[in-house]
Amino acid sequence: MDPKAVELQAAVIRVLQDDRLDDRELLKEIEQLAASDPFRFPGFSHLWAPELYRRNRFIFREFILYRSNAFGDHGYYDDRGNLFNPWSATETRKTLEELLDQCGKDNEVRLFRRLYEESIGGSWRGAETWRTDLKNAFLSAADDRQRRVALEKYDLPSAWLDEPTALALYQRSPSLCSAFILAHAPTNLSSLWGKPRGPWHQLRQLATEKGDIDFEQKLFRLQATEQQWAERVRSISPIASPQQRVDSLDRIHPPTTPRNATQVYYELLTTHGSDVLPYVMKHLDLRGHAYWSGNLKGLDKLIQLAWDNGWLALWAGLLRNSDEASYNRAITNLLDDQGSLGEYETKRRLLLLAGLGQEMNHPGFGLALALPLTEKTAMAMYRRFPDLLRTSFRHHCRPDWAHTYESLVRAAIEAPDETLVDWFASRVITMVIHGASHKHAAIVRLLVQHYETLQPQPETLARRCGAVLSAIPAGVIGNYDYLLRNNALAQWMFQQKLVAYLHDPRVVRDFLESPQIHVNQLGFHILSLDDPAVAQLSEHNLDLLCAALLRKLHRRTRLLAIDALLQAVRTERAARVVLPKARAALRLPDKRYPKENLIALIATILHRHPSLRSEREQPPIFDHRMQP
Amino acid sequence: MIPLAVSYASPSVLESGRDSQLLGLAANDHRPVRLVARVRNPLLFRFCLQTLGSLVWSDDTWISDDEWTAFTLDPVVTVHPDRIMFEAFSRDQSAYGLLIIDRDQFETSGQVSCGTTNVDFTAWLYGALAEMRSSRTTTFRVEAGGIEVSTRQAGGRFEQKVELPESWVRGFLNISAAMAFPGTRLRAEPVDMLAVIRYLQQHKAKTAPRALRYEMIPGREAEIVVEPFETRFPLVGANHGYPKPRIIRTWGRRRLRLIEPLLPYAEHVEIYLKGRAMPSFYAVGLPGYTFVLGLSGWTANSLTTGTGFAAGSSVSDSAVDRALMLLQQQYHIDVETLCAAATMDKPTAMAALETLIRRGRAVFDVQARRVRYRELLAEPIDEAKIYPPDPRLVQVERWHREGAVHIRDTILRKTTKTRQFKLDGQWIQRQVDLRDRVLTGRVGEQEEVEVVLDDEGRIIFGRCGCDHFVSYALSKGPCAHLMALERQSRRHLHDPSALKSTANPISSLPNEGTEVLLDDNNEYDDE
Repeated sequence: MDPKAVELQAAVIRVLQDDRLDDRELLKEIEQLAASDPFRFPGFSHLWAPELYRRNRFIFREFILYRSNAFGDHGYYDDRGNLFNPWSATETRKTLEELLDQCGKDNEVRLFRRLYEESIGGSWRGAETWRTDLKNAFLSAADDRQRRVALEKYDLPSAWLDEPTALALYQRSPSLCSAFILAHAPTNLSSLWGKPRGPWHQLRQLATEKGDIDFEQKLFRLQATEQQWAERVRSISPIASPQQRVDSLDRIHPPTTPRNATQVYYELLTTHGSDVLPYVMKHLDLRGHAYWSGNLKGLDKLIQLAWDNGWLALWAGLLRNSDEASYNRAITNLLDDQGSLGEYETKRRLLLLAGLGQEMNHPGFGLALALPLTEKTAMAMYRRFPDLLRTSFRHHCRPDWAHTYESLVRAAIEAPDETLVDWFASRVITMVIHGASHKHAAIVRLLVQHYETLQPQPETLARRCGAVLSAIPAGVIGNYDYLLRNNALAQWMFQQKLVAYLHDPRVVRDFLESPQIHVNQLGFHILSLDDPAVAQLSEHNLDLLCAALLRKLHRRTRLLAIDALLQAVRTERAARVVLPKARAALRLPDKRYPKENLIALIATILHRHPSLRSEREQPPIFDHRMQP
Repeated sequence: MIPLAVSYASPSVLESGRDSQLLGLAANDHRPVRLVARVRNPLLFRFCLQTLGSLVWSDDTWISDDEWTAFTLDPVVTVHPDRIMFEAFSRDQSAYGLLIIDRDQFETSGQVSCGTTNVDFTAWLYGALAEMRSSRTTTFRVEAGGIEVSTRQAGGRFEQKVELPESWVRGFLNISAAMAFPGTRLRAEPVDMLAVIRYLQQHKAKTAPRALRYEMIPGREAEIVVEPFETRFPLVGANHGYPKPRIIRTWGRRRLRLIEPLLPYAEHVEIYLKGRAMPSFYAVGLPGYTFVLGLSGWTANSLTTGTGFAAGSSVSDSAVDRALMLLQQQYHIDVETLCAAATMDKPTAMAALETLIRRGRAVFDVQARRVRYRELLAEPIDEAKIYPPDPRLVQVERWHREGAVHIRDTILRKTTKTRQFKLDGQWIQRQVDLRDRVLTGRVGEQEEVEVVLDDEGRIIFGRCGCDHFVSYALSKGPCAHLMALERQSRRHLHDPSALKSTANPISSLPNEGTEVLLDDNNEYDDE
């Protein structure tokens, strides 16, 4: 028994029975009640949903949908605050069934679906009932419009059709229900948990008889086993035009590339040659299946076939999606080849291998596969084509926990290759080096020593350190203080004398534009120094400093930005630009905004430049001689 | 699905060196466009492209695995003699971004080929944009192939055939149609929009209502009220000129955070409200750059549902062809120019332009209120495929066949309103006369149906007692009853015999000074 549920139930009944409330007021009241206990409130849907629907379905529709029970048929509370299934109790079942019927009559599709799914005990348990009801509703509908509505009403997620039901629907109206059938046909993927099902032969045969080849192929691609897919691929006629073959193959390609794809591609390319290259190129996402199956069986053979036939785009695409060993082997082979290909062709083929394999782009984040070079391969490439390693292959030798590239960094320092060294440093600087990782500690020491040797040349040092810090990507520093404690390079660069960076004014602007907030902070810190050179520099960066008043910043960073603005507003020209922005920033509702410092900034401007004062800001002057 | 051939000779690249950087956007080989130029303000360029990238990858809705379609069309770039436009549409199909850059922001070198193309724009490139710095000379290049040796074939891709969902294309087209819809324009300071966005980030509304309420009270600047907290944010300097109080509510306000990174650098924000729960547009003005964010009425009401705002106009093919020809010559035109150049009346010109927008051959410029030439896809769009038969239109046809549509009264109404205009850089106020037609009548089972058409023949307001109207007003397009009444009136305009059959013929007497009651649920206005 849950006493809070009993209290809530009483409150719900009280609100529902309050005759003084009109619909809008009732909505407001019941919203508040729902918000007061969002976990328990849906458990009383059997009480409030029918009543609200009866009163005004237009006004309460969204509320019912949003707040109704989402915990299944056992997520309801009875009068004593115990959980129960209202669909098994006679009285509540009757109420809910009436509501369900009414929703059906009103074509309230979303509400109907929600209630119906619950009434059958979920699409898994009630699959048989669902199929029967769907079939009855669809077959008894008078016209296409009603049939469409029936499909919408019974469009339950994760509800699978069986072949007889799908056949019955398709026979009545193929055009209307083909999309529905495809959405609810069991896929071959579901066979991972049981015996492979295979395509529905009768339905596919019927579709073929009706000339609905498109539907037949879509159904096949959804349901075919790997073996069936391979057999159908083999049966593609070599007489058809290349475009027709590619289109046919595309149409039957399973939603996820099968594990036997490499073998099938090999057979296909051997039989059809370059005609089917566009199809294979489009479906190179083999990598995911390597993890499923544990290997990329047949990939080497396929790569060799592509190489032998001069299908370089395919060869490169396969390698970019292969594994680290195959990728490095291919690059080493190219680098070791000293005569047969020639310098230009070798370089061209290497460039084909640079870049990403698979990409997965999702809202808010993206994943990309860039296979790493081993230290040995990277060194070999640096010796022969240093420009390639510096540009296109840079992202293939990013230092991580498996690769330090120490010999490469040493070679770049000796070269000397500023660009490469700075780039390596920008990646190493964000790594938290623990005591145990000697190899990483060594590379950090090496880089620190290198930058320390630049100290006699302050301009070069500023430029080089600026290049390192400015190249740090956004969001890679988690705990800044912890990083400083555990990375000597970070400590050295972030905490060295700020004035050192003033030797190259461009560096400070680069810091302010950096997407990494700690580098930004460093820029603000430099511009807040009390130095005549800084004042001029601050004025030069006024656009970025003014924006810092409105940007989303932590309080500590904002304080530094305001300090930097205090340096910038020494001239009236700069003050004129800053003042309206500072006044506008006062309107921001940010809770931790240092408004007192902002007011101090405005006051400083008005104090330094009286001509900028508005009428109300002129100080009143009292003259005692005027007094009576 | 709509098949689309996309071929990039090489991936887009950002090459960044000590003193210079190159942003090379690989264009679709099938739609060659060329522009190579030095960027005058690389910082704003970067911020705007990053915002566009955020929009491409943004998703505010919860979509189940069943509904998930992991595809978006790469951004569309249009090069015109006077501007460059980038367009993108979010994955959840509820947000649209249009970046407009003045051509004087670029110092071009070599030949420029105008046109429209898709550009390769991956999440990887979006991340790399953060490496751009204003201290380096920045070259922007958009062209098919032609990336020089250092990057040629690097990660080269093969021609792909991607399939665009019809719903996605429909959404892209609907947004342009929605932009052309009359509405309210407010000019606000960036800090006021920022204040609203920050407030929303700091306060989570646990109960409904969760709208942004725009209140336009005569004699006061417009205000945004954040529900349910009822916190008011005055939009300083946002004059509206309404003689009567007016309220417009919009939902899906969290999506406004997309423009947050641009606001600290912006000069002003223009807000275009199309009515309650209708799409809204926010044009962030930066020096030489404008970023327009279009949002559907609420997040779950994606711009792709139904025929939406693109429904309704019917015009002869010859009028559409004439409009297209003029557009191809001049790149951008307004209704008046088309009327004068092609000798057609205003409703026909508007309908012709709407049809072009509907077919993806033009885009509406919400700021300049002009239509611009832009071919969304290389091949003309099959309208029948994109716009499935609308049950409302089927119903309208049936009522017409059965003679169930009766116009009871038609009034030509003149309304005088105060509007702001920019003249020689100064904002001035002028009195404007708006001429609408108010039709009342009976359609099917609905005895009292009222529809208001503007001088361009568009439905801008209505009243009906049907379920569709009660539930959605005009936010999902007009109901079948309003459409039937509007169709009937169009028949009367072109068919004098039909005119005789109405109980009260169209009145030519202007009903001067009439003003309908405007409230939260039933508001409308003209530009």
